[in-house]
Amino acid sequence: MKRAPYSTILLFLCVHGLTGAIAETLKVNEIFTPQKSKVWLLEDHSTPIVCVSIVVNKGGFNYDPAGKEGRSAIGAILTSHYMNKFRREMQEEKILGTSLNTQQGHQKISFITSPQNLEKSIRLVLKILVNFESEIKLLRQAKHSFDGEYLEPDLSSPFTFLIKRWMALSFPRHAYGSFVGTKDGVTALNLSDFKDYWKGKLTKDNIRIAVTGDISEEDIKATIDKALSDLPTNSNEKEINIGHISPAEAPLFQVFRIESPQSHFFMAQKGPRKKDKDYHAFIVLMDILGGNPHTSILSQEIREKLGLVYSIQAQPEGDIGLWQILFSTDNKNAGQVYKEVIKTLNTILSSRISKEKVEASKKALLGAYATTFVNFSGTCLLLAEGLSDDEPPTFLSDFIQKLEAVTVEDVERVAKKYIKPGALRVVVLGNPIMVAS
Amino acid sequence: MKALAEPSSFTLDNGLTVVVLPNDRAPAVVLTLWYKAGSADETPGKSGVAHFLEHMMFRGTKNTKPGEFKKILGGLGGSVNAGTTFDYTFYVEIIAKEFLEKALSLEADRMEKMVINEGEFQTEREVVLQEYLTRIEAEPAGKFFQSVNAAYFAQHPYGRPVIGWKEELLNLTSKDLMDFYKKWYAPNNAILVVSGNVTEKEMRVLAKRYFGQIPKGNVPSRKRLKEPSNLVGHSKITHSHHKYGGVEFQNIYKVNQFEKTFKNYFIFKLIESILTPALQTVLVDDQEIAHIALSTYPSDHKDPYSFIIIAKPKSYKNMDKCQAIIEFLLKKIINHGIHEKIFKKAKEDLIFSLNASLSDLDDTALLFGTLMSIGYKFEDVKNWENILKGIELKEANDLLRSLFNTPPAITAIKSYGEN
Repeated sequence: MKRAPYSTILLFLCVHGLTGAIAETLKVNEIFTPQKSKVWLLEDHSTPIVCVSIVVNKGGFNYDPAGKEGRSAIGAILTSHYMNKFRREMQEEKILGTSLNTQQGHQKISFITSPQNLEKSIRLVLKILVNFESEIKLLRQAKHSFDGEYLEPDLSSPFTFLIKRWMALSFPRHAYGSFVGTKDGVTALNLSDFKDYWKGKLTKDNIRIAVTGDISEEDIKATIDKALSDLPTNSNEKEINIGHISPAEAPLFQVFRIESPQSHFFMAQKGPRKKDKDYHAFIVLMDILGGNPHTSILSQEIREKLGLVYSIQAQPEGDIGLWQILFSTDNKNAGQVYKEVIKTLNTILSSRISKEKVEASKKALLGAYATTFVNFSGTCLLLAEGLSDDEPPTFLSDFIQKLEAVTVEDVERVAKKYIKPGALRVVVLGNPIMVAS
Repeated sequence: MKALAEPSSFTLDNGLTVVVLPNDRAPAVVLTLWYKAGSADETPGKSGVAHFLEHMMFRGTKNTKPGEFKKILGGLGGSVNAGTTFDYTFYVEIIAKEFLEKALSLEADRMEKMVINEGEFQTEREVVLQEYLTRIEAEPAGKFFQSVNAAYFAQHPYGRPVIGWKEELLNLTSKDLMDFYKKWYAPNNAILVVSGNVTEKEMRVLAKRYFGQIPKGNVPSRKRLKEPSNLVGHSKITHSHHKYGGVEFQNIYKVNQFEKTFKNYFIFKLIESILTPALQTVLVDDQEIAHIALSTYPSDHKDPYSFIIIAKPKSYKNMDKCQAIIEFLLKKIINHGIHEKIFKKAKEDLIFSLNASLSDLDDTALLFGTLMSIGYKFEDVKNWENILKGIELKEANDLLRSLFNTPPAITAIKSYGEN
C-alpha cells in the first residue's frame, strides 16, 4: 500500500480530532414529552440560562393566501410592534432577546430566559402571541415601509433590494418569488387578515421546540407540557405544499439605475438543496470559488491582483437551491469585474481543481464550523433550523462527516452540473459602465 | 450555578498577564490580546496614531508578509478582528482549538516583530482616510459626536477622536507609528485573555512557549491631564442635518467626582437599568411624546467619562416637555430615593442579563479584557456577581443624588428640519 504523505496524515488526524470533539460536545437529545411535544435539547451547564426557539410548522411565506402575498412579511413587522408593548411583562419573567424569524415554510420565535422561569416564559410569550392584535395606523406604516423597501432601492442595503428583485424575476408565479409580498398583495391586506394571526398556528401539534442551556431532560419533560397546556391540541391550518421549482433558466441581465458612485451586482442560478447528495461537495466548491475572503479564487483574482472590489463572495443557498455571487464596485469598473467573474467561472470548468485546494477548503470549513458554537443563542437557532428542516438529531455531527467525505471528483462533478456561466441571471443596482462584449 | 467556569490568571516573567476562561461547549477558542494603550495615550498633535497602528499590525512583520496574518488564520476557518478605543487596543481571533498555537505564534510575532514598509503605510493611510470618510465626513452623527466630545472635555485627551483629527492624520509618518508601537506594545503592557476549550495548564505552557522570550518593555506610566474640577454652567450644542430624520437630545452629566471602584462601576450600571425603564414608561408609554428614552453609562473607560440620558421626542416642539418631565422624574427619584423593591429587582435583572451575555465565549473574553484594560483587577472581575450583590441601597441612592445634583454639563441636540 502506498504511504500517504505526511501532510495528509496530519490533516486526517487534525480533522478527526475536530470531528470527535464536535460530536462529543454537540449531543442533541431528542425528547418527546408525555403530551407528545417534540423537543431538541442541547444541555450546557456552563451558563445559568436557557435559549428557547419555538418552531411554528405551518407558517411562513408559503402560507400567504393568493392575492395577499406579503401577509407574513407585514405580519412580522406588526408582531414586532405588538410585542414591544409587553416588554415590561417579559422583563419581569426574565425574557431577553426576543426575535421572530420568518422563512418559506415556517416561523421561529426565540428568546433567552432563566431555567427557573422556563415554563412561565414560554407561557407568557405564547399568550402574548395568541392574543395578537394590531391597529390600522400600524398596518399603514408597515405597508408604507414595504413600499419604501420594495419599490425604492436603499443604497444602505442594496443587496436586500437586489435579492428581492432577483427572486421575483426568477420565480414569477411561485411563492419563492413573492416571499416578501407583491405590491398588489400588500395593498390588498387589511386588518381582518391579521385577526387571530398567531392563534391558529400556535397549537401543540404545530410547534416543535429547540432548547440549549442549563436544563436537563427531566426538567424539560416536566416543564414543556405545562408551558403548552393552554394551547389547543390541533391546528386548523391546512398544510400547504407549494411544490419546489427551480429558478427560470434563461439568462438575464437587468439594471436598476440609480445615482450612485458604485454598482452592486447580484447573480445567481440553480444549485443543490440542503438534502441533495451534491450539497456538501457544492459547499466546498463555493468556498473555493468565493467563500473564504482570504483564499478564494474570486478574491485572489479580482480583489488582490486587480484591486477592483473590496469584497466578492460566492455562496450556496440550500433552502431553495441556488448559488449566488455578490459584489460592489465603482461604476467604471463594473464591466471589467463582470468579465473577470465570467472568466473565473469558465476557468473552473475547464481546469482541474487541485486536491490541495479541496483539502484546504475542507480544513477551513471545518475550522469555521467549530467556531459556530461559540455563540450560545446562535447554537439554539442552528438547532431550530435542523428541527424545521426535519433533520435527524445527529445533523450537527453528520455535517462534518459529509464534508469530510467530499472528494476532488465530487467537486469537479458539481461544478460541471451547476455552473453555467452563459446562463447566469444578473441584477444590478447602480450605474454600471459595461464593457461591450 | 457559577456564571463562569473556573477562570484563572497568571503572569509570565516578562509581565504578560494571561487570563484563562475555560468552557468546553465548543471545540474552539476565542483569543484576545489587549494592549493598554489607546488614543488617549497619543502625543498631542499626533492624533490617530493608535488606530492607524492597529491597521498596520496586519501589514507584515519580519516573518510574515502583508496580509498573511489574516490569510493564514482565515485559511484555518478562523475569524479575525481588532479595535482601538480611547484606552486600549485589542485583537481578537476566533478559531478551532486545533489551531490555537498557530494564532498564538502569530500574535507573539507581531507583538515583537512588526515592521512598517513605507509603501504599505501609504496604502493603509488611504484605507484609514476612507474609514474617516465613511464614519465621520459622510456621517453627520460622527462629526457631531466628535464636536460634543471636544466641547465636553476641557483638557482630558478623551476630547480627541479615536480616529484622529483629519489634518493630523494626513501628517502622520511611519516613524510616529513605530514610536508608539515601541513605547506601548510590550508584554508587560498587555493582557492575553483566552476563553473556550482550553485549560490553565495548557495556557501556562503555550503562553511561555510563544510569548515568554519577548523582553519586557520600558513602558511609561500613563500621565493624562485631568479635567478641572471647578467648571460650572451648562452648554447646549445643536446640529441640524437632513440625515437625522427627527430630533434627539442627550443630557451629558459629569462623573469626575466619583471614585473609580468596581463597586461604583456596578452602581452606575444599576442606575442605568433602573432609570431606563422609568424614562420609557413616562415618556414613551404614558405621555407618548418620545419614540425612545434611555440612560446609559459608557463604561469602557479608564478615566471618568460621563452618564447620559437620551431621548428622541416625537417632534421638536415636544423637546421642552420631554426635558421638563425628565427633570421632574429625576427630582422625584432623588427626593424619595430608589425603592427597595425596585433596587432588589434591578440587581437580579442585571445579574441575569450579565450571565446571559457571558454565555457567549467571545463576550466573556471581551468583558474580562475590557475591564482589566481599564484598570480593574482580575480577582474583582472574577468576583463580579458577589460585588454586585453586595451593593447597598444607600450607596446607590447616595451616588444617584450626587450624580443628578447639578444639571447636565452639556445638552447635545441633533435635529432635522423643524428647528
